[in-house]
Amino acid sequence: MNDSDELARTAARLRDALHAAADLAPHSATAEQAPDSATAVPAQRRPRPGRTWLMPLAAAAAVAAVLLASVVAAGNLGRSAGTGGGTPGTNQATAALPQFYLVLDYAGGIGTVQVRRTADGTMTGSQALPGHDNHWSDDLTAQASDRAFYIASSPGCAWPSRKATSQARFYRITITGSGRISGIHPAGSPVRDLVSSLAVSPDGSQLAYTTLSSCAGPGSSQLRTEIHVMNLSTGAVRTWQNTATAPGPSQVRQFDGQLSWTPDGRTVIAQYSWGNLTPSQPDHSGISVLGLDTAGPGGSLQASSRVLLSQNDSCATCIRRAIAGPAGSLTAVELSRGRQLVVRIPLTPGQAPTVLYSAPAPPARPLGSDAAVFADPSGRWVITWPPYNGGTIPDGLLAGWIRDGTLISLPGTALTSSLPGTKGAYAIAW
Amino acid sequence: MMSSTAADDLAVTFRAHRVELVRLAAFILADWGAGEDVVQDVFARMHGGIARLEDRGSALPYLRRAVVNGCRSALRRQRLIRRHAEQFPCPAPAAEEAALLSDERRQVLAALAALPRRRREVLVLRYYLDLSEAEIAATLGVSAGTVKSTAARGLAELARALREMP
Repeated sequence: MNDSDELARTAARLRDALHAAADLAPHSATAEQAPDSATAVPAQRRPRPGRTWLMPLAAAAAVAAVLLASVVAAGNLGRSAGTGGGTPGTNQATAALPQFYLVLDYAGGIGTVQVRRTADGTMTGSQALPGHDNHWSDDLTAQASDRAFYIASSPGCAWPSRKATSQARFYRITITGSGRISGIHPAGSPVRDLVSSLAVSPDGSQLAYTTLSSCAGPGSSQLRTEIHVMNLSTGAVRTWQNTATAPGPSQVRQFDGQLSWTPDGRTVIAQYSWGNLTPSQPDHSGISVLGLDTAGPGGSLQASSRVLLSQNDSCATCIRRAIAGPAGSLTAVELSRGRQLVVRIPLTPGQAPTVLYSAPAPPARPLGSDAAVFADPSGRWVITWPPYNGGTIPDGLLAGWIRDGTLISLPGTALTSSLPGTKGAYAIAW
Repeated sequence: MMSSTAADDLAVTFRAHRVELVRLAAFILADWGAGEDVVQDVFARMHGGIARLEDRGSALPYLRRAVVNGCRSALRRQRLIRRHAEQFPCPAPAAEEAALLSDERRQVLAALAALPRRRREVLVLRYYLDLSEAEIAATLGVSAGTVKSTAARGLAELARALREMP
């Protein structure tokens, strides 16, 4: 690496570290409150316990440690009041409802991110994503601070080679305590690939993603099976590759679904198709859900994964989409006896699934995006769309979040086909 | 007495940019609480002097400059206190809390905190607030050339420090 490369890398690391630390700012610092102009008074300092943080500068590292102590302690306050949801891996059962959700909209052919308040759907921020000719990944993804989200740009496509003509870039979208977009900045390192799915770890330090082998073409065979995990600070990427040859649930044929992280930030949940999938059989039911332990350096997908769940084509209750749930569980959309269900599936043997939401499914088996399900980083709070006939997207069909078995509609999430350029919600995160 | 319009303008500017100003101060001071205090002080002082600003559109650059100056004053105060600092124990971050920032990011922030003040200011303004060289120059009251050279030296020093970290 030459000097200019090293400086560019250092600049990127610095930008990443500053924005990551800013995401963990104390709640009091991010609450956007100005004194009433009519009653503004000279500074009223907050009462604080003894300023034990005023330590010798001689210990420069200690200065940084105090900064970090302040920063990381603040992380616990990053979510809305009374949450306890700021620390990945803890308090998932009591994680607060996310205050905001983000929607990627393609109205006018331009990718625009909207921030909306969960309580009433009010749009609190909106900003066009950089590069008007860019297309964007299928997924938006949120880290546990409730203030930072990630998305990937898709590069242009050469025809007829169907190869990427530029690099895909990851972007971090940060919002303020009032839901204003405070920045959209590059994150991590660019990759010369087409990113199909991505998920940021709850602590915001790592980004898991999958790629496409080509950017256009019939069928769905272009979805690769590898899972990459990028360290967002250094840009270093670890890759787990499909190495299975024996028939069975671990013999994954293609990635199918969306990546998600378990709330402890260690395992990536990935759904795959297996069996004799062909383009003429898109409505498959042979799926496997793997839990990839990301602690290792990369290597064999199968050696580092557990098959958490698998089905074949003869399933009576057919899982369509599965993601990470609160610790020790999956959240899944399934079809069973004419109903579409969102269920929580404990991974402990002998425990029965819990139905979170149930609605009659249309006679025609729905396709693709109707089976979408998203969760906040704690896995507790779930967004889905009500069932519909996959061939006809009803106008104005809104996604909703599940509360006590009912779906609370989320304004601004009117469903669209997954083709960029179509008006409507293209990706959601909270 | 300040006009209500000027006061309203200030309140709007403050409300819109308070978060980034607090973070700017916190990164320069390496302390969130002190950063909040500096910004609060700046607001109170500026509130009394807004009527003297000829161009109200310049409120934000003025605020940034005032925050940087406030940080410098705070650092001077801290240096005085540190002479008697042995009596103040340094709290270590809890392991669970420290896990919220990755090791790599902690290293970067530690290296940043160890830079000379001017270099730290320039790098935070450049890479946190994304200000241009001209904007940074206006904020710090130096030339654009000084900003450019300071940023280059600061970045090189940061790279060197990170290279030497385990």
